[in-house]
Order: sequence, then structure tokens, then C-alpha cells
Amino acid sequence: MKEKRTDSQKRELKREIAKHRGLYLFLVPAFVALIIFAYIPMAGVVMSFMDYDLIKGPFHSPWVGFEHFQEFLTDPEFWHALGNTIGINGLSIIIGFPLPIALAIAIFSMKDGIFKRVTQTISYLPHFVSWVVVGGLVYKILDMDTGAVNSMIRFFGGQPIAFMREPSWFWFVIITVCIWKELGWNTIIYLAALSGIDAEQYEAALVDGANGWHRLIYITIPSILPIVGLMLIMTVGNLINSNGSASFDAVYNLRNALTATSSDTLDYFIFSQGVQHNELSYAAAAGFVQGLVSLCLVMSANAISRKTQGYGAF
Amino acid sequence: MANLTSIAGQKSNRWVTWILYAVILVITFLILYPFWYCVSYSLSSSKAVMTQNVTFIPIGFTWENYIKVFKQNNLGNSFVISVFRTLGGIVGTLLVTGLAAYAISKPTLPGRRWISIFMIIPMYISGGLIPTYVWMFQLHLVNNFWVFVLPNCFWAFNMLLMRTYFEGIPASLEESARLDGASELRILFQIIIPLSMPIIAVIAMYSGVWQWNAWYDAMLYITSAKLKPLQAILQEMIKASSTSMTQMAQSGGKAAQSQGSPEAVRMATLVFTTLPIICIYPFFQKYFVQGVMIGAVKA
Repeated sequence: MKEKRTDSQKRELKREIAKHRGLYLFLVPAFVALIIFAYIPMAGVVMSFMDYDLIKGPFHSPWVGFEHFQEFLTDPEFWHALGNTIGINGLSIIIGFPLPIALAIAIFSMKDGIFKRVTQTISYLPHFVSWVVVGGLVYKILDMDTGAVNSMIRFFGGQPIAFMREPSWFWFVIITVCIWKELGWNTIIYLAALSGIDAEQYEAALVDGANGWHRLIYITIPSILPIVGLMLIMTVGNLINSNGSASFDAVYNLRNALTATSSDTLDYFIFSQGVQHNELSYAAAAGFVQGLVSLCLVMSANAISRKTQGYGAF
Repeated sequence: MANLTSIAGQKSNRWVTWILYAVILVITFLILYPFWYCVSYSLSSSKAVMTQNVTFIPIGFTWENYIKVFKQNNLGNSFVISVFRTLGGIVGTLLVTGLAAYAISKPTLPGRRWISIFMIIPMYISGGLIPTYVWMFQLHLVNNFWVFVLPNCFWAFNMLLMRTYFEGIPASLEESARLDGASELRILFQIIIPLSMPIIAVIAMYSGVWQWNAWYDAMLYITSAKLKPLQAILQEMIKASSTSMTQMAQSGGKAAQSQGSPEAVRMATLVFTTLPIICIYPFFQKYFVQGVMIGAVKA
């Protein structure tokens, strides 16, 4: 009896698959693209256990085991790069995370109208400008001799600052620029949460004689707290990967040889070892570890969010 | 809604409202000023900026920098490359990602869950820069125009956005077409696509803006001058001037005007590169915000 049923189930499944063969055909291009451009490079991390040679290819390069891993873990440059990555991302979370929330609440309390719309439109703009262009803008505007910022400093009688030449200024520059670029864009998600607050709550509060401050503390902030928590956890999950402020985009376009000591991040270390110095396997090994650790961070961030907020990104 | 939360109307707190608006005005100004400055600089004469500093308005107003931009050898060519990679990216994404999203949106598709997982895993795990870099050499995509398009045809996030949209289209519409014996392809083109223009616009703009702004792939995989997009040319100009600044500082020389192309010409190139985005920005802004909203609801 039982066997017969699974048999008929199999036949049913076959029929279902046959019925959907047109749809499966639609999936073919995506599968091919994914296998070629995502899954094969994933398998490519085995090269970090080899002495990979571009000419010999994957099947003739010698295996070296964990040699590259030991090598970069004892490389002070690697630890230096890790420190810069965590420093830039960490500081940028501490400074940059609360700002979009505050701006979103401010925009939300504005009267609907042209001024509000223009403010929003302008604040999203930098998000759509390429990092190359942002790099060019920043170099010009912070230029020691002719830049606008130093002209201003000189106007008020101060000494000009070599923003783009002093390593000690690099973190300040990159964090400020990242905040400038994404501040407006990051308000969108909070504005969505704010517009979901039930208007009756505010009406009831008005009847009870609550003032603006009370409404902010007792209604507005508690209502968006869950989304704030979720965003914070997700941001912290990006502490060492390429999605934080120390993204390769930002670092590559803002750094130069003079600021190297404070601008060599993990992504830049991997790029420079692998692409510029052709230490392919060594760089791949470092990238593999970065990927593993950041995956663990993202997964634990997600698990925390599931536990505390009841939902996660996946 | 807004008038309930705003403090205006309560006389004692009116000054809070004024401070709020003043702060927002300052923030808006700070966000806008770098663009303003850049445009003013690009319209100033190269001679005038040697002696005077630009703050708000151009000094010695001139179009000469823009004329020089167009006279640069490779610029016309790289503009064409940028346009082609943008168009190619849009078509590729809509075809590959769109078809996959449509198939996945059908609740009756056997194995739907596993296929979704297969497609979403690369959002979280990647081979990293170096294995990809080496693989592109083996695929002969180095110094090849298709390196801009092929690797960017499938985007898991865009697939999720499109799937959500397709799932919202009532199934009854296609049921009747299917009863009439319409093929899957015909249903897609005659029923689904006309109903999905909003999400198609969102995805086209996402991938178009991304493609226009992309520089990383060109920097890694393109050495041939003929294939460099605008962003790559601009990046080379900026890197050349920052390198000359570096060398000057290292050799202990007094910092003078940086070498390479004059700064005003560089600013004009920068404006020229960003202009297409700024021009279509008012139209696509609304759609982008919608995309974020759908994404947020998914999360």
C-alpha cells in the first residue's frame, strides 16, 4: 500500500515538473550566471591552500596546506589592517548610527510641503554619486592650499590643515564623508517606520496635555525602537566586511601613500597583496578568513535579532 | 499626521520649531555645498583660481574647462563605453533576474524553496576578491567589454524585489489565459509585463545607476584605454594629481599647484560624469525610495 502511494506521489511530482518546464527554462540563465560568477569563485578559495600560479592554473599549482594562513597571521601588516578596519567601522557606527534617526524624526516633524520635499530630495542625492566622484570632490574641497574648508579656516585666522596628507586625519575624513554620503538615504527606513505610527496615539496625548517633548519620548521613540534595534544589530554585523564605512569603495578613492598607515584596511590589504604584488594565494587566504569571520558576525547578528526582535533578515 | 507631531501651534514651544528648521537648513546646505562648490570651480577660469579662492560663485566665469573636457582624447570613447555598459546592464538584469524572479514567484513550482536558497546564498557568502579576479582571467573576461555586463546580470536582492511584486499579481488573470492555451512566454509578455512596469522601472534604474557609477571592475580588469568607462578615466585623473601631491610632499618641496590636468578641468570632468545621474534623479528618486520600502518589508 505504502509503496504504491510513494509511487503515485513520484508520478505526481514528475507531472508537476513537466507541467512547469517552461518556468524551469526561465531559471536557466540565472543558474548559469550564479554558477559561473558566484559558486565557482566560492570553490576558488581552495587556491589559498596552494601556491597559485596564473600560468600553471588550478590543476598544476602545488599544494602548500596552511602555510599562507600562518604567514599572514604573523604579518604585522595584516593586524594593522584589521585594526584600521575595526577602528573606522566601529567609530563610524558610534558616531554615524544615531544621526539618521535624529534627522528622520526632525524631517517627520516638519509640516508637509515644498520645504520638506526639497530637504528629502537633496539629502538623498549624495547616495547616487559614484565614489570616484566623491573622492575627487573631497580631494578638492579639503585641499590644503586652495580647498574651501582651509580657505574658511584661514579666514577665521586658523592654521590650514593637511587633511589628505596626515594619517591622523584619515579616519576623521572617511567617517565624515561616509556620513555625508549616506545620512539622508539612511533616514528612509526610519521615516517609513515613523509614518506607520498610529495617529490616534498623538491625538490622545494631545488631549492629555502632553507637550512635544513628552510625545517624542513616550510615543515616537518607543514606536521606532524595534527597527532601530534591528538596524543596529545588522550594522554591527558588518564590522569587518566590505559593507561598512571602511568599504573598498571609500578607502580606495580617499587614500593615498601619505595616509597609508591609517588607511590600509583589510580589503585594501587583500587588494594590494593579491593584485598589486601578485601574492595571489596569500591574499586569497586572508580574504577567506575575513569572509568566514564576517559571515559568523552576520549570522550571530541575525540570531540575536531573531531572539530579541522576533525576526531577522533571513 | 505631521501637524500632530510638530510643535508648531503651541506658542511656548515655537522657538523649538525655529531651531528645528534652522538645523535642517544647515544640514541641507552642508549636503549640497560640495556639489555647488564643484560646479562653481568648474566654471572658473584656470588663471583666476591660482590667485583667488572659489567659495560660492565662479571667479572669472568661463566655459573653457568644459571645452577642454571634450577635447580630451579618450573622453568621447569612454562616454560611449559608459552608455553601453549601462544599457547592457539594464537589459541583462531585466532578462536574467526578471525571468528567474517570475519563475520563483509561482507557488506551485516544485523545488521553489531550494531554488530560492540556492539563489540567496551568494548574498552572504562570496569567494572574495582574489578567487574572482583569477577566475576572470581564465574566463578571458579581462580587457573584454562583457566583464561589465555578464557578472552583473543576476542580483539576488533585485530578484527578491521582483518576486514580491509578481506574487502580488492576482493568479486569476493568467488562469484564464492558460485555459485559452497561452504559452508561458505569451502569458509573461502579454499579461505579466504590462502589469509590472513599476517594478521594471525600479530595477532598470537600480542597475542603470549602479552600472554608470561602477569603477571597481574597470580598475581591476581593464587596461586597454579603448574600453575604459568614464569613471575609470576620472579616477586616473584624480589618482594622478594625488600622486603628484604625494611626491611633492615626500620630496619636501613646497606644495604648489598640483601637476597633471588643471584642477578646474578635473572639476569639469567630474560634473560631466555626474550630470546624467543628476538629470534623471528627480524622476527616479521616488522609485528608489519605493524599492527600499519593499526591501524593508521583506526584512
